[in-house]
Amino acid sequence: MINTITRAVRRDNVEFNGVGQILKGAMTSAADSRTNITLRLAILAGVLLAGFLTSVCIGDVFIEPIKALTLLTGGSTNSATAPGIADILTQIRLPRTLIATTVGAALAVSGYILQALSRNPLADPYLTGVSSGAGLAVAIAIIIGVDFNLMPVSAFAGGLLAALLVAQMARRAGGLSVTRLILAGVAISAVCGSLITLLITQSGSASQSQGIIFWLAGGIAGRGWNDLTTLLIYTVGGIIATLFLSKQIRVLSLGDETAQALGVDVSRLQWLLLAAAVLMCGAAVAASGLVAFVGLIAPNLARLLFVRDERVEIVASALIGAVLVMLSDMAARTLGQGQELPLGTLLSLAGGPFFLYLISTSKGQEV
Amino acid sequence: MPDTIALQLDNLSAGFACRAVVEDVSISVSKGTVMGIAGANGAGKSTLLKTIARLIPPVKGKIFIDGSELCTMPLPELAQKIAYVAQDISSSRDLTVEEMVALGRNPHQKWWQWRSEGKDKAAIEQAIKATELLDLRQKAIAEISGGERQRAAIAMSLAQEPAILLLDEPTAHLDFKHQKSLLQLLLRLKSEGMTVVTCLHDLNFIAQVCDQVLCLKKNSGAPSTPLFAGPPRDVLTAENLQSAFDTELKIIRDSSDSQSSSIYFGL
Repeated sequence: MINTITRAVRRDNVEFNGVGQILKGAMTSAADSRTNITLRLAILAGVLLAGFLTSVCIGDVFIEPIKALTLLTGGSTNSATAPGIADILTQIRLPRTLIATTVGAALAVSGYILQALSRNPLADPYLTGVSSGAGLAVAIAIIIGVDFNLMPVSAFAGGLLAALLVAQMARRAGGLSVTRLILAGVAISAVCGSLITLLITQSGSASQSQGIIFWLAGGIAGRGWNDLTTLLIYTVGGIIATLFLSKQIRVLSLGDETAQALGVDVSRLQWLLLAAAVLMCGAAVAASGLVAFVGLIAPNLARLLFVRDERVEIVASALIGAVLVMLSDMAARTLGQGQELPLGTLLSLAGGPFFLYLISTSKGQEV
Repeated sequence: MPDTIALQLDNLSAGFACRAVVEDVSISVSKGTVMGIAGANGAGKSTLLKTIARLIPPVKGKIFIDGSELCTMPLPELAQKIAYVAQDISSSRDLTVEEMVALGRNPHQKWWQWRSEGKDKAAIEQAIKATELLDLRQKAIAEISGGERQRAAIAMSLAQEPAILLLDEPTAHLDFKHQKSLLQLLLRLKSEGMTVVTCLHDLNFIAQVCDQVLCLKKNSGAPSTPLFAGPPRDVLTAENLQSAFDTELKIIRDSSDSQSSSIYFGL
């Protein structure tokens, strides 16, 4: 933990390139040519579509892909069970899969922004305090017995509040201090984490403690179209804003001073990027609880596969994040015996070793 | 040519968070001339240069470019007029030399615009040529040497097509050959009407390329102040320099050329 923090606090570019080099070394053949970027993006989009179709088809009730497609495109089937199946498809699986996809995209682009802002590949959207603030808000809401439908709202509010506090700490004359942003994020996360633990251990009600723990583990069970609308607005808005800012993100990579000398209002850009990251991450946390890891790994994979062009990297981050969370959610609801597995836990469990594999296959590479 | 003032510093104090590092600087720089800033380590040369680039706000006083006040100018407009090259530059991105030079066009483009238009391409091309980077244009800036990176940074600032170029120790990472070609480049830019303000440690470089030199004197317990300013030939005297750097040195005139002289610190 300490090590992670120390590394995260270091702002030197050598390290940024270092991790990039490791990942690049791991997948040299894939990353070397820049010519077939379109092909790679198309493959990624294809994987997303195929995964999407699989995800809406499988579950407790299997729906044949052809039937699912017909129903999704507005056609009707002759089967007698069609009405029930149509409900499962359109009221449960479709919104759920869309939420998973959107949460993944939101967290991935949020992570991309934070990594660009801090010039550090280890930054992750939860560094802004969003997760811990949201977690604490939900824990309090569960303890005082707030209606379950208001959980996403509490999470969003708590996340924003914590992020504002972190941003306030990071404020300095002429913009944001990235080092202070990370330090404040770590400190506030630690405080909120302790408070959550206190609430869990002192709540006196097993069902309340379990409710908090389950929410912290992340999951999309029971979410519907209403949750999707809000999430979609923030995510699409955030990604479009990030794409528009992508050129300025590149200028910012030269350092605050040089960026300002090139006519960039660094302070305003930093606040805009932070706001985009926080809103996307907040909306994702509100919809899915704490889904860790995707905000860290998706942008790194995107940079590895689509080197050098920020616009492509942003789109690729969103696609990779979407695929990761969607597949994890599919696994979460189909692999468990009778009970859903926690999505966030599953994602870290599968993603962690994969990330370690990438690092270990590049031993001997210059770091 | 009429003597137009490109840059004017009016009773300027530069520093951080209201604490002055340098104070009482009043000087004007004519268009198409090179001004060198000299002084001991810690005398505030870089701080003064950064203040002129508006990277840090002035503690006191005013800066005028072409007669208009610097602090009220919108940033992109300012960046079209003034380019600043830091001592060391790097990117957290895997940029090529050409991609980095292209970023110099940023103040001339819309903030979301990626595509270089004809005018941008011409400026990028010219900047790469002027800094002898043609062979390196496709190399990643993380893979080239410090001196090459410095040239790339200067190329980026040239792509900005500024009226005033601010250089912080531009010869620091350069080998002998590239020091010479940088100084030649400065002279050429000057002849094309560019105004250059540069911090330089090497007094011989100052003597060779600068039209005027501003020397800052470090004061113990108080902000630095200008010690002398004027054409190098007049002000780079042994007495002045000993006072500025607080050490013994010798000036040797070139017997074949009465204009040139070299400054040594005899050990």
